[in-house]
Amino acid sequence: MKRIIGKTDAVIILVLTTTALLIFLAGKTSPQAQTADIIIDDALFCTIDLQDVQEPYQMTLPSQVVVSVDKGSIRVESSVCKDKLCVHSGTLSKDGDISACLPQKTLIKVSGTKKTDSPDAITY
Amino acid sequence: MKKACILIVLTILLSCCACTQQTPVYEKSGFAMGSVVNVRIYGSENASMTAMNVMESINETDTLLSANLENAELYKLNESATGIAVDKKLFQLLGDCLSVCNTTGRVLDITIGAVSELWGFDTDSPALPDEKALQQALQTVDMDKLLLDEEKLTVAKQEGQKIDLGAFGKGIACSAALRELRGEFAPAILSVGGTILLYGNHPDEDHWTVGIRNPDGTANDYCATLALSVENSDDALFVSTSGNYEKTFEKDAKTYHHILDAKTGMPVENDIVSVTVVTDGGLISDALSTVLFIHGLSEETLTILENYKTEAVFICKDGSVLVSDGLADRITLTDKNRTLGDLEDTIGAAK
Repeated sequence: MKRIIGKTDAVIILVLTTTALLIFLAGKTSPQAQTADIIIDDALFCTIDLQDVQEPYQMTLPSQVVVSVDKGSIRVESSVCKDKLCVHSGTLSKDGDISACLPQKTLIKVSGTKKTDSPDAITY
Repeated sequence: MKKACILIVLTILLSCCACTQQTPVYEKSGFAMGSVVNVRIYGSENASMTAMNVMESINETDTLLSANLENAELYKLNESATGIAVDKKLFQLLGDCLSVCNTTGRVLDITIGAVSELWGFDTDSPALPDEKALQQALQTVDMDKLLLDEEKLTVAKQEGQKIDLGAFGKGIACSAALRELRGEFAPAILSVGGTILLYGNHPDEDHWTVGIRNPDGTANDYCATLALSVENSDDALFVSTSGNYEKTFEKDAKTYHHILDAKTGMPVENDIVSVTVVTDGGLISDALSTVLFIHGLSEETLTILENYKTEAVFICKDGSVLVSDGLADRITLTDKNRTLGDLEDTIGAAK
């Protein structure tokens, strides 16, 4: 009986299939760069690459909101607003995490690594 | 045959590589209606223009419905002594809101404005109102005294009466923004505060995932997720939540929240912490989350869910998460301290 594929062909097919599978899995699981967008008065003030932070630091935004930046995370340290809801948002490190200071019109938003079934949005 | 086999494998290889490519997404954030607004549009070349139009549409709704902006149509109506002629859009929306109030047990009353103003939950300094002033303001809460003349587009009201569309505004804004998204035919997700619009289906996943805020956590914590999808690519779903952890203040070790009882003028006290509503209309989703919060675990709640063909999730003070039948297989609890229950069964058992 004639063989449909030879040994060499089987190896080629195996290698190609394994490569395809690895590329597919890598695309599904590897984290993308994690960034924090700081938006003041509806305009993008700056974007921070959170993976690229060498040393923790603080910065005071023009809206009088002070943020602490660390490798992989960011948080509002203090604000001149009354309710301090932005401070109470805590540390932001996951895709979709936000901290909003409505009185100071300042929004910090982390984006990058969305895991399957992590929320596209949160209702509150 | 060999060639065919290799061709098939190469096709699989290319397909797998293609699968790893996520649909391009354009995202825009800003502030409107006293909330954070975020819009994400998938796979569209005109996404930036559409996102801008969405933002503009939300600002237009704000200018129409705000009780605080001096150029807002509603503000002018509230400031008038006994009513004025209003913009056609506002006229229609007032009619829609009154209709919802009248068909949901009249626990929500849009003429509660004078009472809301006393509490000041939309200001920097909310406070417990003076009892005498509260009783006086309560005299103006009566939606039957709000008279809409369809021919003249006038709204007549009792002197001192003020309209508060806070329980409707974000839902109305999402519905208005949907018109902009529909022109683009691209899947999108829009949130105006905690009210969310899902347009079409998620391009890269089987469903949209909407988290329900964990009342015991921070603004980014959720205690459950809902897996939601629509039947047709041009369909939309709206998700709104009313919770007693939003807009609060403390006085004498007591926490006061913003969901007010139209009869007493005081924050509603029952077994509920939050109510999330999922339905196909923005105004309805926003309004019903408040209405159902006020009704709590009662027969009226079940009647309203049935009449409006709406689904809901109740988070109760005892830690339970009660879900209506239509969402039972779409909810996943992520907070292990909570228990999942059936809304209909729980209300039925309490009878």
